[in-house]
Amino acid sequence: MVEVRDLTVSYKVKGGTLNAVDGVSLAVRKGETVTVVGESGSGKTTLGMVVLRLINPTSGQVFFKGEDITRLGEGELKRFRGRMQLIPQDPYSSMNPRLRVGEIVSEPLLGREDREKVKEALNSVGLDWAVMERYPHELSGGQRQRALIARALVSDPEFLVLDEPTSNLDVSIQAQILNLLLDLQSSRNLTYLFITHNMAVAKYVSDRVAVMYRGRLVEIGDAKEVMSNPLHPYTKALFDAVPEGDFRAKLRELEVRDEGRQKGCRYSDRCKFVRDQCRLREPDLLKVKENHEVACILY
Amino acid sequence: MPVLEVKDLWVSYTRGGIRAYALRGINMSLERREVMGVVGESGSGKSTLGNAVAGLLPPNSIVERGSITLEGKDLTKMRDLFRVRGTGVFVIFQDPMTSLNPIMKVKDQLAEALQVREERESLPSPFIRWSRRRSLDNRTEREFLEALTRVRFRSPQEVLEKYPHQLSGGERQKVMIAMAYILRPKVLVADEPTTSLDVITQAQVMKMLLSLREEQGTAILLISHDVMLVSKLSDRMMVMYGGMVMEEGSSEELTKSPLHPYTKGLQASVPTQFKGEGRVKQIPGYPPNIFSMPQGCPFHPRCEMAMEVCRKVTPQESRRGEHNVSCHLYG
Repeated sequence: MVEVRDLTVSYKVKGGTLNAVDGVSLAVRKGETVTVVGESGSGKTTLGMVVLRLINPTSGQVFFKGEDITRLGEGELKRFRGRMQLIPQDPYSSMNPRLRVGEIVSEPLLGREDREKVKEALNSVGLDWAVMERYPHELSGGQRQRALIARALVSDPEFLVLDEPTSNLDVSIQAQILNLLLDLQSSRNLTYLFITHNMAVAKYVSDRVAVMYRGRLVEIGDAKEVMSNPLHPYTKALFDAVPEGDFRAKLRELEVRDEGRQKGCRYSDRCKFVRDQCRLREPDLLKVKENHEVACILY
Repeated sequence: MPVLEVKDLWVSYTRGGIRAYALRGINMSLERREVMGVVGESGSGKSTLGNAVAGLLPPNSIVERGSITLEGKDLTKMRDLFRVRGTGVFVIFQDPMTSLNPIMKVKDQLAEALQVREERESLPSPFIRWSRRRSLDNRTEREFLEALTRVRFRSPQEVLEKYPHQLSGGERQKVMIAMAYILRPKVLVADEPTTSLDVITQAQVMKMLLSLREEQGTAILLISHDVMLVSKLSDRMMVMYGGMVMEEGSSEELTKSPLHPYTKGLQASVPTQFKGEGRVKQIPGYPPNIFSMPQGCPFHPRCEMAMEVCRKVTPQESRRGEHNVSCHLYG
């Protein structure tokens, strides 16, 4: 469905360039959910934006259904825009406060005001069509997130990038939205690239999980496999930080190490298992099982 | 004797001439070195409770009834609350940028904290005439470096010279905890301290809060919407909804055998299963707005166990084993 090859996005920063995404290759198959997890600054949001061509890559390629869309101009991209959509994190800052919900939801239709389509989209996310006449500030956080999902659905997309769609919501509402997203996926055969730092959410929605650390893909595989048998020391640290089991004891053992810029593996400064070889060069992703790849010299 | 005791606290907000209650008769006590977790959704009153304890209620709110007693002094009756802030009650908010001064270096902000503490301890303070241009004296610098080292900054010397915007969200939160080390508060209110941080940074910040409590005996009021996090870190916890305490008890008890339908619903709405292995249970509807609070039990419109009496009568707190629960199902 969607594929990126050796994708790099660099930003100019004081004293050089920063690779927000650094040589990432990833394919998302039709109908599946690939979840990208990682801490803030790992490049997961940037990756989502590049896949949608909302940010231009510095190098590498982006494919949508086999077509190379890396170098397409805005005009040609229009053909693809409706077929791939974004569900952003913060519902409030992603809506024009001066437009009514009906107008907001119909935005992807590019001027073709189609009240029936809008009604249907609102209906499919469990909102009463009467909200069309309301303004965003009149809705609750959960309702606003539903309206944004309706906006993404109104152009009948095949592929959605969901950037932390529930991280600003109350837990009871988060459960509602997650279930809604799962239902929509199966009823409309949607493909999801899901971005989150919440491990419980990742577990609940993913077919496959990709772990990013400072721009680099360090582990990828089937959700069950990666989450029950994490291999990369960073992935292990991520799961250890989840509040479950004897969390207080885990915290007592938690080592806090700062990161620095160094040669070789970018995780080596924080890694418990670091060896001399780690400082020599950056490890590549290596297949350890049919459904599990990891970039670490331990394997 | 508890460090902090809240008794029958009622707080109201006024908006557009309409008065509504954000807290409706809250009782709570906090011992030294105890972590009390407060969970609930938006509009539950959990932040209002934190702000009331810290004496930071906004101008459009009034303490209508009740008391907040910190070491024998009723904060609701005090007119010079500023004497308590920082050393009595210290607050860490979700966004440390709102607490740190953006145009002051870390060392200057720590120096302010130290000045406050020393004035209150009424020691002759070397800081009364301290100006930003002058360098720190040795003893002070040592104290700052020690505080920053306790929150695991690798190069505390560099951090002293930084402005808040030069630090990451997690680092800013660590500076706030370093400040708590310097102020030595009796009670620390942490209102969603890690909500905008990723899991690993969250674990680090929580580790430091627990160490602070270990080392200084600080009592912590940990406010969060994250039920899992709070239940793992607190000694006791209370579940709030619509300005009331729905259930209160030891965190272990409450997690293992919750009684209130809302507590059960909250716990069940945290997903634990893999995709395709069953669905997470959701609480229908949305949390209420305090300006349109339903009659009777505030949770009844979303409660699957709701009975006739729930629509009319506000439930009273009753004791059940190790719990206090406010629900008509239990008396």
